[in-house]
Amino acid sequence: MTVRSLFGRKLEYLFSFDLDLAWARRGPHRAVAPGGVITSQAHDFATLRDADKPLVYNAHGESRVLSDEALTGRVEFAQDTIRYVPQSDFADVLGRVVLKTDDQQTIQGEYTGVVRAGRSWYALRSGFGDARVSELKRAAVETKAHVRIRFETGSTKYRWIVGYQCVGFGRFLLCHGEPAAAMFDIYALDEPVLTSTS
Amino acid sequence: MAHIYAGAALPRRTELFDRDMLYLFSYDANLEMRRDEVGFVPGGLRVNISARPNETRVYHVASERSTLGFNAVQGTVTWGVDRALVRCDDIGLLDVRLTIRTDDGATIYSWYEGLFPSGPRGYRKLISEQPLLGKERSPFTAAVYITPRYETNHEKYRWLMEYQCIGIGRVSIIKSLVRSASFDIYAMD
Repeated sequence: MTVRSLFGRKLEYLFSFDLDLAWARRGPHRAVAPGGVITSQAHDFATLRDADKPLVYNAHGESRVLSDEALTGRVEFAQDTIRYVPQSDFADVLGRVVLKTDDQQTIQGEYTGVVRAGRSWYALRSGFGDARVSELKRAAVETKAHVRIRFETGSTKYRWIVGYQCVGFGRFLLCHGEPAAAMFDIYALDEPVLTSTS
Repeated sequence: MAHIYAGAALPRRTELFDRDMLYLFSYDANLEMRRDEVGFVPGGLRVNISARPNETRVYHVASERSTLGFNAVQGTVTWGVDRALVRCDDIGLLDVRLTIRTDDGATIYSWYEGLFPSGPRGYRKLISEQPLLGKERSPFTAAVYITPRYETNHEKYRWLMEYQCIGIGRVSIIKSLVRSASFDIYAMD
């Protein structure tokens, strides 16, 4: 077996969005299913005034990313389903976000991933009637969240984003054991362009 | 639920979250086991590609025995199949299931989606153009990206389930057929 060196890798920052999940909320709906406790909720931010909708923005203030115009706008809709894995310090998450750019183009993102909070998570989700856990449940717990996300759009201007496998590094804020905020930085996985050796 | 913030539009951050990619392992798969040409379906061309069983080695490029404080994953891919769709907009989508058998007897199941940007007119090149893409002595190589998750009941490797992973890879194409794929797998942290 030939041992090779690692392939080059690059994360290209695209944009960020931060959601207050207490607003325009429908749900949560909970169920105990094989594999864990599932909670789902949706947020129709489109019902809010434009100025109140969550922002899609470039944290560096860049006007261009990946040789294209940077994506800025608002989040119109978000839906997430979290499956709390028993006896574990993580949860599976999947969901969908619908973005509307400042120039009124619609982009949908679908994501799956994990939410990790370490030991505080396990105590938060599994303990009942324990004074320490009760105190923890009153507090806001920040968890790491990592997702894979792909985008689709019919917009010619933003079509470039469809061709990238993207990932999100973020945080979920849990309050009273439920997601109260979600914040993500979105990156595209990028590598050198196609090369032909023929 | 009480509102934590004054409104749904949270203040802009100027600092990005930490973004670490922690290297886990690599593998180089021979994909010449089986190929089902499902054919043209809505959106593109569907083809199922299977790896040769027990021929793909899972290894650490630096031969380290531990990673992230846990046992490094070393073993063999016992089975794997990619239900690929080459879209007519020049994007290849991967949908893979595979099983790893570690050297110490653990079974790890993996599933992932991925993306293979075939470049401008890549779809046409793959399905119709002459000459065929890639030659035996000089294959056409292209970048491919995957986002695997893992499942196992083995206590030594349960830590893998907590991570969303990223795979950075290369596919090798000869006569317009994918012959092999190599990946480096990282955990997002």
